[in-house]
Amino acid sequence: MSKIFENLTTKIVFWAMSKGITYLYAKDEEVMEYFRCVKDKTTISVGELGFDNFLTFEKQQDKLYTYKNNEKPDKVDLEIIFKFSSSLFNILFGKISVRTAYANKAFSLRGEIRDAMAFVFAVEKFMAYFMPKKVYRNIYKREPNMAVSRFKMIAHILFGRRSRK
Amino acid sequence: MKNYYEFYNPVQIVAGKNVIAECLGELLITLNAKRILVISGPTINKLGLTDFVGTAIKKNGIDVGAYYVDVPNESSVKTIEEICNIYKINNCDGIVALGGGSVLDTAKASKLMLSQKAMCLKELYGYDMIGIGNKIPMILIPTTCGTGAEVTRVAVISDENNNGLKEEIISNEMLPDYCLLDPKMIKTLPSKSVLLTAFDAMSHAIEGYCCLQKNPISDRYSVLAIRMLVDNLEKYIENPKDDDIGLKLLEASNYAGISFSNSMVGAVHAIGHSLGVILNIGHDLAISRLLPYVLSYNIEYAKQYYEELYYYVVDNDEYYNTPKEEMARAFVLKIHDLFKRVADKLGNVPKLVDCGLCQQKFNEIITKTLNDGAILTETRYMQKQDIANILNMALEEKL
Repeated sequence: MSKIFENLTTKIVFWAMSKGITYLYAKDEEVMEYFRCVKDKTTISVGELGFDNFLTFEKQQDKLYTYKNNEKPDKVDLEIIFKFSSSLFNILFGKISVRTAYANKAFSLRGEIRDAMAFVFAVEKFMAYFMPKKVYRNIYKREPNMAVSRFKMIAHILFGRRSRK
Repeated sequence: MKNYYEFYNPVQIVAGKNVIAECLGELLITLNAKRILVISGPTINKLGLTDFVGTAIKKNGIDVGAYYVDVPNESSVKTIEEICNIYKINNCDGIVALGGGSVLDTAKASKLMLSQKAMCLKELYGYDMIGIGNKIPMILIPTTCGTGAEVTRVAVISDENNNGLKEEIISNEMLPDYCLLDPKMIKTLPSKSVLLTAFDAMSHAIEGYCCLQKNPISDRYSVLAIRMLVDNLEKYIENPKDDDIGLKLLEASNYAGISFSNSMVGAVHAIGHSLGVILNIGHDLAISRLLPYVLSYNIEYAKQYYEELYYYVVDNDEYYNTPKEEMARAFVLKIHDLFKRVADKLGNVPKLVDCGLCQQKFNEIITKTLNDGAILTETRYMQKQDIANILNMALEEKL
């Protein structure tokens, strides 16, 4: 995979995630509950080793914000770095689940590991909107329990505003 | 990616009767350590084991720079920072730690803090993010037969600056140079602790064999540990003076540690960690009591693994006389019966209900469990209801 293609795809994915996960946080009780244990003003940044792309979230009271693409505060509470770009793409293309990627030691974490759980579960729920139900069931071993319709989610990613910090 | 795995264990294991007296000093010389900080806990110290290790160190002309014998039952950030200060003030250049999981985790985290020259421990929280630091020679000596902490790249530390929440550090940089397995160290361990810590090791081995991160090398360590625990646990409880059997239990715990350090653990540990905090009970008790119920609940998902493991818990005749479709269930029953048999004989092993487990506490336990990293590597996708079902089974003692 060429670096340019990889870079571009990661940018698109992070852009989609920044809108999709904050939207899910507002609409899906389960996702909100995952984040309940994460302390207020916690910042979570996701990136890929060897690339400058990253995506940063901040939890504030009852909202989840994102920073502008590739912008993050001086001090990030939890940093999630994908060690292999292939694992990020395998998650996106429905080849492996997020937890299999974790099990394969595909990403490193700096910060409190329990905060990462909320993010991992939220990404798992987010992935349900982009896969056929059968594939999701096969990969994630659970029913894709969606709080909003696929159409609404995709429309929000394409045209909605993101809750920006 | 599915066929990808990693395995890492650089710790040199020195196992045998009397290895501390005979080898400890020489091993420190090979590490070029001249002034040692000895770390242990109050109970170990009272039993005279700290002095015994101190004497073994001094025998080869090596200095003991300082003793730190106050590691509490829960490793804490304050303790680690104190230890690092003592290490620096006394110009030590190596660490020897003896104790259970808490002492060994404290020593590993202290080593990491010193080698990384970290200002505070919080900088080091996380998973595989720490680079190579300064060399700090370290030897670990387990005094229980359960945690396997002497070979694991995990340390769980309670952070008093964060409401006592348990923080995990996972890094290869924490591993010691040597671990010494000497049966003298577990001779004074009460029978109840032998049972509970051995079942903690059993759960490391079984979960290591069944969870998502399993790999062919850690599988071998797991089955070896399971076989040794099943063969030797009851014998040792009946005859705790037998050093040969004691050594086998220490080795089993060590192998289980190597296994789960590479393959991680699953729901037993995720729920067990939460139970430990909420019911204020020991890690080993929570794990031992939960293990059969989680195994039973997961039987559909881990059927093939349990069938494979059944071979290691029975003799050949019994294995070949059991129909294949009954093997998984039979495996769970074997593990349950072994624990029950020994616990009934000892008579002083509390049940979870006696420790305060009740349905009113389920929600708190479930929330904590879902935030535990171990739940991610569980073979079954665990949701709230699954955890509630397991807790109900444990409460009602229904397999």
